[in-house]
This record gives sequence, C-alpha cells and structure tokens, in this order.
Amino acid sequence: MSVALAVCWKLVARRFEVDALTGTVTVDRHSLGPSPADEAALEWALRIADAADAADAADRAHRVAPSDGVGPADGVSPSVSPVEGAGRGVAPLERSTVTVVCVGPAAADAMLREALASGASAAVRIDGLPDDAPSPVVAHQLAGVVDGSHLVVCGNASLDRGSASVPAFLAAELGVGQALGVVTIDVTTGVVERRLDGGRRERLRLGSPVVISVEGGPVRLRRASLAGVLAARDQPVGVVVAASAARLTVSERVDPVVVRRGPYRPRPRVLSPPSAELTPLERILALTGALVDRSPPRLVHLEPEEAAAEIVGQLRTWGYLP
Amino acid sequence: MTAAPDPFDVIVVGAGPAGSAAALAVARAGLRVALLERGPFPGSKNMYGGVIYGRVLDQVIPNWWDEIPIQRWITRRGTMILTPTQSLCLDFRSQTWAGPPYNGATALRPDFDAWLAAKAEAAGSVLVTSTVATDVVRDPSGRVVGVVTDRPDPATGASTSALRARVVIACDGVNSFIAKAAGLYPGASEQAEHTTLGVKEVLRLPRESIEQRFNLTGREGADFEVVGCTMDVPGGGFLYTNLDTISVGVVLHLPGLAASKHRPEEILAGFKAHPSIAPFVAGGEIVEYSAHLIPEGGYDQIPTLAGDGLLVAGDAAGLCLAAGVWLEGVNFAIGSGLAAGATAVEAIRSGDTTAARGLAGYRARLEANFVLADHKKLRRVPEFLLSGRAQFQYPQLTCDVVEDLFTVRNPAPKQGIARLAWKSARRSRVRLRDLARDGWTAIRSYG
Repeated sequence: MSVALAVCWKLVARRFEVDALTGTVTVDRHSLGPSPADEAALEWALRIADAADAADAADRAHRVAPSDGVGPADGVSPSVSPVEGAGRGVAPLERSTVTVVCVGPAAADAMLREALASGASAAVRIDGLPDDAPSPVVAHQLAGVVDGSHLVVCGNASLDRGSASVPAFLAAELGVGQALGVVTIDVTTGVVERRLDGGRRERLRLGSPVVISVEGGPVRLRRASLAGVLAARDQPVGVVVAASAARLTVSERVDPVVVRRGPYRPRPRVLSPPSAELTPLERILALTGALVDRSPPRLVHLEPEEAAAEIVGQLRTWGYLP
Repeated sequence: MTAAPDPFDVIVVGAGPAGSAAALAVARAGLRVALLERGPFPGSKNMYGGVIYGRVLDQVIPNWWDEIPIQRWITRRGTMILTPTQSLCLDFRSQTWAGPPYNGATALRPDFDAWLAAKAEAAGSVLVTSTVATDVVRDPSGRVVGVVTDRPDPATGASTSALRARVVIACDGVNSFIAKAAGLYPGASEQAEHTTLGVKEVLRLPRESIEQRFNLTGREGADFEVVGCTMDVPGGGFLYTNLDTISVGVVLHLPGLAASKHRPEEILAGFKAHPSIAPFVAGGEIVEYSAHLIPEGGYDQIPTLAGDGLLVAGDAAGLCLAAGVWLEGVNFAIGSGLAAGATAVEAIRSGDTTAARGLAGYRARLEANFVLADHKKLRRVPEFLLSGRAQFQYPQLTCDVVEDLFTVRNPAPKQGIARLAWKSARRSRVRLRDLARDGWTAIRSYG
C-alpha cells in the first residue's frame, strides 16, 4: 500500500559565530539550509516510501503472476506498470508521497527545492510566522498541513534553537503517537530504535499515524541527481499563509508498542587524578576509594533460587538489567 | 551513464569571477547556459589577490560601483621591501580613488562571487551548486560535448552523470579538472614549477583600530604588497584591509617551499612578527585561514586556451598577473570569462565549435585586450621576480643603501649615493652584470 509521508524542515544557519562577551549570534547567510537531523528525516522518509512502493509492486506482481505464469520466480522484474496492472484487473500502482513542509520565509524556497531534487514529491512552505515563534505555534501551523499523513518525520532538533520540542507538540496537536530521538528505522517492519536518557535505548513498533523525530548522525540525505536538481528548479513550492493553515482533522491516537527496552548502562564516572604531591599509597587509596566511609554491604542468607532472584532484583535496581 | 534530457548550449564550469562573467555573456546573448559550481555557493573559498579592479565591468554592468558588495575602496597603495631588520615602503595615497568611478576595492569572495553569479542568473543562467565536473564528455570525433559530474544517475545507478552542451567553458581554477582531462595542461612537475602557494589569515579587529592603524576613514582601504618576507623561499607577502578584518598572507614558490622544509604557517607567522607588520596585526583574532594555488608563470606558461568544443578561462588558463607592483587576478578572470562567453556564442551561431575555426577567435580577443596584452608585455617579469637576486639580494642591497644614506656618522662626512650603492652591492654580492641585465629587463617590462 502506498503511504503518505510528511517531513518537517526548518531553515537554519548552518554556520554562525557567537560573540563570547556579548552573546551576540552572527549567522553566515550563505549557510542557510536544513539541519543535519532534518536532512536525515527526509532520507528516512524516502527510504520508507521506497520500501512501501517496492512491497506494493511485489505484492501486485505476486497477484498478477498466476494468470500468465510470469513473476519474480521466473527472474522477471516484479514491477508492474500502471497500464499493465489495469489491464489485468489490478488497480494502477499508486506511488507513496513524501511532502516536505517548512515554516519559514521565502528564502526557504531554495532549501525546499533541494528537498524536491533529492526525491520529495511536493514542498509546502508556511509563510507569515516570525522567526522566534514558539514551538507550540509552529507545531499548530505544521499540523494543519501534515494532518492526514500516515507518518510525519521530523529532525530531532534544529541547529539554532534545538529545543527538540516541535515534534512532541506536533504529535499532541495531531493527537497521534510519537517516537522521539529515533536513531534507526527498520523500513520493512516499522520498528524503530530510539535513545533514552542515561544511554539507554528502546525499540518501538509504530502504528499509524505517528510522529517521529530522528537524529542527524545515522544517515545522510542522498545526493540529488543532476536531472533532479534541474527539474526541481521548475517545480512549484506551495505556500500557505500561516493564519489560514488551520488544523483539519484529529486522527485517532495510536500509541507505539514497546518491543524491547535495553538495559541501563550508567555512564563511566570521571575520576580526577589525585594530587602528585601525595604518596603512592595515598594516590592508590584516592583512586580506589578504599578506607572511605560508604553504605555498608548487605549480607543476605537465602536459598539459591531466592538468592538469584535477589541478585537480579538488585541489578535491576541499579539499572544493569531491564 | 546517460545524458540529461535537456541539454544546454554552453556549460560553464566554476562560478568564480571568470565563470560567472562567461555565463553572463552567454545568457545575455540568449543562449541556454548551465553554471556549475563545486562549492555550496559561489565564492565559498575566500581567496584572491587582494584587490578587485572593476574597470573591466564598465561595459557589462554600468555603474557597478553602486551595487557591488565591497569591503573598502583602496585609496592607499604600498609596496614594501623587507629584510629581517629593515623595511622600505613606497606608500602612495590618492583620494581620487575614494569616489566614482573608483579604482580597486577589497571584497570578501562569498559576497562578490555571489553577486556576480546572481547577475548571471538574472540574465538566464542556470546555477547548479555543490556539483563537481570531473571529466569531459567527447563525441566520436574527440570533440568535447559535455562534462561528467559527480552527481548520481538514478536511471543507471551510476555515481556520476553527464551533462551535454555544444561548448564547455572551463573556469574551474588553477588545478582545472576539465583542462587536465582535455589534455591542455603540461605535466604536473612543469605546472608546479610555475605555481605558487598563497596562504592567508583573516584577522578580526575593531573597525576603529583598523582605520587608526592604516590611517583610513569611512570606506577607504589600504593594500600593501611586500617582498623579502618569506625566509629563504621565493615569494612575497600581502596585507590589506577589509571593513572589520584585515587579510595578511604570503605567496610561496612551490619548488622553493618544498626545498626549504619550512611550513607555510611558519613563514606567515614570521611575516606577521616583522617589526613593520606586527603593529598592523597586533591583537587580531584569526577568523579564517586558507590556502590556494596561484598560477604565476605568466604569458609563456599559459596553456592551450581552446580545444574542440572547449574554452579555458581565468586561473584555469593561468591568467593571473603577478608582476611585482601589480598583483591582479579577478579582473583578468572576468576579462577572459567575458571573452570566452562571447566566443562561444559566436561559434554556436556559426555552427562550428572547433578550436581551429569557431573558437579560434578566443585567443585573438584576449590578445586584443588587456588580458593577454598585459601578460605579453610583462612576460619576463615572473621569472625575474622569483629569482634569487630579486628575492634576496636586491631587497638587502636597497635597504642597505637607504640605511647608509640615513645613518649619520659624524665626524665622518656624508658619502654620495653612488658610493653607498657600490659598497652595498659588494656587500650583497650583486654583480654589476646581473644588475644591468635585470635593469634592462625592468625597463623593457615596466617602461
């Protein structure tokens, strides 16, 4: 089944200087563009769309093949053209769509054309909001455009303000589930892995519709083809005035299902080196913490099974086990 | 690898001054032109000779000075000779240069190049950034009919794709991939022999400090070219003012740099520490450090400028004038770019893009205007300027003469200048025969 995906971008300065004395931020106007996390969001959306279309094509080929004996097993490409499909009683292949949405000024159009060149189906810019509009306001405007999408993918945080709050507000506006801080996505199963506080990770199986935010590091946006770049110059960028970008419908909320939550792995503690003026023994004691008052060890006398349960429980308390 | 379905008449590779000027000329003639730029925006590498002389723009952008994004208009122009402990400066100032039509200006390349590329775009050029042209595409006859780019081709899955046009203009800098691929360049060692490395720091200072140190007001600017400041490496130095930064750097002959075992940044640090330079740069915060190769071979080292379906302009064609008192590149790039664009238009309209006929007018155009005329007149200067005598002996000789002239040795009586010069020449081991020959070269070149 084809899917409708929306990707939220923000125009930011990717190079800037901060005056150490006054805190004044000077942006390099030549560096305006999407944050790395926003680019990763589009890449994930394109991969999901590609996977959905490939699965759709394979499914159609499977349904068409028995009538003429031609199919993937015969080494023929599984793709079926819309015309061929229609002729065999199969609905024309409807490709998945990826719409990139941005709240920003007209200067963002060049950035949106980069998204079109990379493979996005459409681009919409919401005009009329000030640069410092608060996250709930931005999310409200975005919701008016992206509502109805099967999946909304955002960058985890923008390079400028970086509060990482718009995706959460957007999910709330849409009344759909959310998975924030996603690191990887299995585009075939829909299972995502996200980062939790304290270095923990968890895997979620997503329903639809849902809002996810992705980190910028794991994937890079594919390089646009030359033909894509040239074609994108003539593609229109839809412009919606902010005041009229009202929310259309509220989808039924579908919370993600926790598949697995990884163990808590506390970060290593940083120990300052002891003073060089101490004796070797004193330095060893300082490093090891020996002879320092601490919580006394707890001694329990239990049967083996109970003792094992006690140990597991303690490890879980400390966070070493899920 | 497949060709794009919508070919252009002309592809210009490189959106620097030469490329944008070429694209502007082609677009204004009504032809379709693609302007490929490897950086994320035109001018993303902020390196150039120090001063942009805009007179070449008079014919194509009237009153360009009203809109050009400059930093400062040069009103103070200096040539310095340094030895480790001495300096001699010819410092000239003209307020005539402080108003229209001006003479030269300092600018930041991200601003200037973006402005000129925008002119080309406004005329109809299609600017494609972040795209490297890595090779040429030839037809069966060997004629260049396009370029290979580093953008993928989704139709074939290849990591490169081709873009076709009837003429390609290579303006992709001193190390031009396109000119190399077309076989227009000499071997690497020969090219290195006539190439220098420029390294530059941009130092931030309060605008008032710059104006006090350089004795400037408003948008006035200063530019100093320096010789004798590069340790044992042939080369030179430069120092010029931007609005709230100054640019200081050295230019180093590549073979000399390799033989000396000095690091470029070490030589630049020595230049900045010289007693005559240090007060100008004191307290400056480094906001940029960059390096760039410069073609300084002059007229005799200019490569073949045209192949079948191909023209070469700007630094790619070695069109940079490094002639001591004159250090110019941007104006030669623009001049050659405009000529290349006009030649391409004529060739396409005539239906002949061969080097022997349709594109043969390019060199004639350049010979007829300042681009090759200046290079030809000063053809002997680059070799002389990078010689040991010009780099080490003459600066020492000159400074010694002036020092002796101004040193009061009472009760001994003053000596005549000729006698001082003779003594200094002997001390500097300058032979009269060399002095006479170099003097004759200077008269023929600069006279």
